[in-house]
Amino acid sequence: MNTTLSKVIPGQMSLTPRWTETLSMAFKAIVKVKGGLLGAVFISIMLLCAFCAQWITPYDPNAQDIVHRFAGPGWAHLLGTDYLGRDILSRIIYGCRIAVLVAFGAVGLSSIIGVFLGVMAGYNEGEKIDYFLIWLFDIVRSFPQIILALAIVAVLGPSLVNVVMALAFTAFPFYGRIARAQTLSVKEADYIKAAEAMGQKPLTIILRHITPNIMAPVIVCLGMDMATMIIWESGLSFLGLGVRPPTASWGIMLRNGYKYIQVSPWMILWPALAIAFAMIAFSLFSEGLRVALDPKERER
Amino acid sequence: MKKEDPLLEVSKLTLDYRLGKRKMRALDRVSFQLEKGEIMGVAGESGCGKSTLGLAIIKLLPKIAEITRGEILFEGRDLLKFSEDEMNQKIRGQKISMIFQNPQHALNPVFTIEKQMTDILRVQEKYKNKRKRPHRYFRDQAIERLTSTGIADPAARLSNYPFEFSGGMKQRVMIGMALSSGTSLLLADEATTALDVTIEAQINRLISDLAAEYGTSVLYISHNLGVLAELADRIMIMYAGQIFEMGTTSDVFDSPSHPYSAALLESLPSRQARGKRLLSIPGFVPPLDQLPQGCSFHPRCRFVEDICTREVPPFEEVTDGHWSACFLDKKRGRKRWQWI
Amino acid sequence: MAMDLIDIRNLRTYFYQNKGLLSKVFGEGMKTVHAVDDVSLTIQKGRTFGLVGESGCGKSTLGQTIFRLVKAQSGEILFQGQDVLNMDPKTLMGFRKKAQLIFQDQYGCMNPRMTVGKIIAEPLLMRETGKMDKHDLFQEVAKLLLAVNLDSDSAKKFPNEFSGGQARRIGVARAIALNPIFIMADEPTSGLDISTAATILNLMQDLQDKLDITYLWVSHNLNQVKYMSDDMAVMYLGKIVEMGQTKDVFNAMAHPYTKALISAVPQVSASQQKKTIFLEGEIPSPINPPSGCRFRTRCPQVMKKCKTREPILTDLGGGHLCACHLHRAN
Repeated sequence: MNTTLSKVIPGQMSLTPRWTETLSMAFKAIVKVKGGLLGAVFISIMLLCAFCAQWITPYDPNAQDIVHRFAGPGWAHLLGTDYLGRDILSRIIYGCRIAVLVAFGAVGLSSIIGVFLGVMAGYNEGEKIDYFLIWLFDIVRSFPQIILALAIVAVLGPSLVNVVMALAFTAFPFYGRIARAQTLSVKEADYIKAAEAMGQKPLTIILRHITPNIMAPVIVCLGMDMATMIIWESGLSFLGLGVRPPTASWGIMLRNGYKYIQVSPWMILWPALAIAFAMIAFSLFSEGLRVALDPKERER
Repeated sequence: MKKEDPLLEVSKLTLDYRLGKRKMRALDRVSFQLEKGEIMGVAGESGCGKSTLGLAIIKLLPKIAEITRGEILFEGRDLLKFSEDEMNQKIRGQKISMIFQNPQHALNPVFTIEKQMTDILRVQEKYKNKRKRPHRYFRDQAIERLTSTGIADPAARLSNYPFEFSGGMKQRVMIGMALSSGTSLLLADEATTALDVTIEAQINRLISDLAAEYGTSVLYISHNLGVLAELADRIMIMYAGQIFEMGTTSDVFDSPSHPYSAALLESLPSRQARGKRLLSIPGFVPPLDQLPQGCSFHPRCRFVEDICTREVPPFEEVTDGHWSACFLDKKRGRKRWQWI
Repeated sequence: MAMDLIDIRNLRTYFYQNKGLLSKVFGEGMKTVHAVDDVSLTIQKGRTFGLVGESGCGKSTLGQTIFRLVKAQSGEILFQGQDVLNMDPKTLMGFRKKAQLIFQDQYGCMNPRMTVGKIIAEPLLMRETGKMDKHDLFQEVAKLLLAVNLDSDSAKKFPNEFSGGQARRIGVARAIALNPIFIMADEPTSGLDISTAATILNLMQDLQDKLDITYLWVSHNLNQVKYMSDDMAVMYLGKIVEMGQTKDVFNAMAHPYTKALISAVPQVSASQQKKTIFLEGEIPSPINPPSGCRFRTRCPQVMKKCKTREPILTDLGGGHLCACHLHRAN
């Protein structure tokens, strides 16, 4: 600069707040939203179950004990046993791992693909690529989601990976549409014009300026979607088109519990509650996360 | 000749906004009188409380606002003691009306002008006479109101939607709804700030013409000193919830008796030659829950003295009709306050 | 003798509404907004050029066209002799570094998810061809913040944490980051209080003195334009109606619109009784501007020929131009 400001500026040398500051602000924000803290706690519990399943389960989820099958909750088996004498609690915990994998996997995959395509479409509004992508979104969306997922898994064969891919495929247009709509309004903003006036490259504008500012509704959807994906997985497994037995997934547990509902209500009760718990956890947490990531919500 | 009682008399009105644990003093012992037919300008920068004052008079404050002291005497009766029903039936839209900065926010975009105007007229008729009248009656009234505001071809315009009106025309509609022969007081909150200059001149002329015709008093809130200088009979200058100076327009603008008023005038580009610096008042407006001790302006005042930091200056009459809240004025007399 | 920094010749910028087929068949068909209609002006280096007008006059669009944020229909914009509208990418990069703008919306022009430091650093990172050391980058950003009287701690904060005046100053800091020689300021004090506006005006003047910047000052506030600008142009519905040195325009007020506009500006003048000229009617829409002289529907001195013949800008002497049949060229 050709001014006479040449003194060295001491002090905090950073252009962004310290990561500890950011974290504490995020935490405060999550707590501020009603239920956000509860959601965070629930999610933590689920993640704990998912990652540490092998260390915290009292029993091997596949260990059979025919003698003590259909047991109700008791000291030996806190949640009871199923039709093969397997400990329900341990199966729930392992089922949590499946749920988390499917939720994060399917949602992660679909949202990344969907948002990327959506922003591309929105930024090139009116061009051929936009029309093509809208057409793609609409085609995929016009299939009922469950039919599409069933079809894909039926073709590829039931397995965890295939379930994730099938669910991701059915969901990506949803994110695409949201991302595109948001992009259309965001790209008219003055800060985009400012970046263009600076001569910024289009790719940088998309990544640095557009994408972060469209994420708010996407994140809310992510949370809701994760809850939904768990339901889908359960549904597919219930129909026998999800993960293969003897893997413990909540959906499979529901299926078995359904068969034996007259004998032991516990078999179906606990997985149902687990699914409900997971849904609540993700819903609350996603709202808290959205607030936490929004700079406008910070205290002045 | 007996001096008529003032139409509006506000005495020591004090109002706090409660935000969680914080208490922001939005109005502090505000006291003034407004005569019948008078146009009083309320000037000040953002956060000084001028909008709050307007909303307090018509009692449209948010729930977090708490009036802790004072009274608002309108035609001799304290409005603060009126119930919501009484306010709706007798005061709002009839004796006291308010217009705002963005008329497009006051008009529902999915209904025609006719529907919106007749709806309001019907409600007012119900309050006044409790009679049912045919739609035609209200339609004619609406046309009359539009005509009085200078809108061309009002009968045809009734079937338009708000988006078909320009900003100036929408404001005319609002003025037409607000001002009628029964209106005693009009509160105008930045009524022309969002309009173009030539349209602003038209609208302000309309307001002053109609007010003169109906004998309406106007409390005109604006941060634009020029508009107030041309429109208002008297002016009050507010800062951090208090009135710092009040008097006739010529008194306040020609010989300001408060350093803040003088500072505002020296910040205007219209009063300074090209190339000369404008006054930039040092410091910043204090947050309303952390007002300094003594005079709330003292940390920024060029002429501050010891007493200003300790005691709150009383709002007193300096000369006939010219009021000021500053210790020093009495000592220096009516000498001009030169900042630069 | 000041040189011409920007030379705009016969610029036209149009916007099109209702382009689709359905509109043609069922609706009224395509509408053309003549936002900027054959505008020519010259901005000299080191001076401030004020551009005034009301809604729909095209002043903002003109500014945006200069920076290629909207596409021009036809015409030329010469910056230091080179045509901006037809520049090759490399020269365009150079132009984009020398010409900057300050937006009307002081908050909207900043990415709400970026810290102020990153916002100001963005142009700096584009300037350097190699990577910049983190320490040096911070120093540069801090220097820029100081230049607009904000302290270096601001770099960590987000735009919404600042007041209107401070946000405006951040925008100014970003604009001067690349050492531009030309800055367009679009309504730089809109939404600001009197004293905050004064601070910004002082700052802009100081920067102009120190950094020798040429300003294009777009504003509807005539008092401000009279105070800040050396030369000015008055626009109405996409056309320039009067142009020249500011003092000449204010003294002569040759065009009836200029006269009405200036007379309508509220003044806190000590004693003068101002005679306001009230223009009747609304500002026409730029989609279907009136034939002949566009101002004729509201002109207090309208004549018969104003309906059929469009007036052209004629020199009244000393570079003072006016487009009105009342002042015909000899």
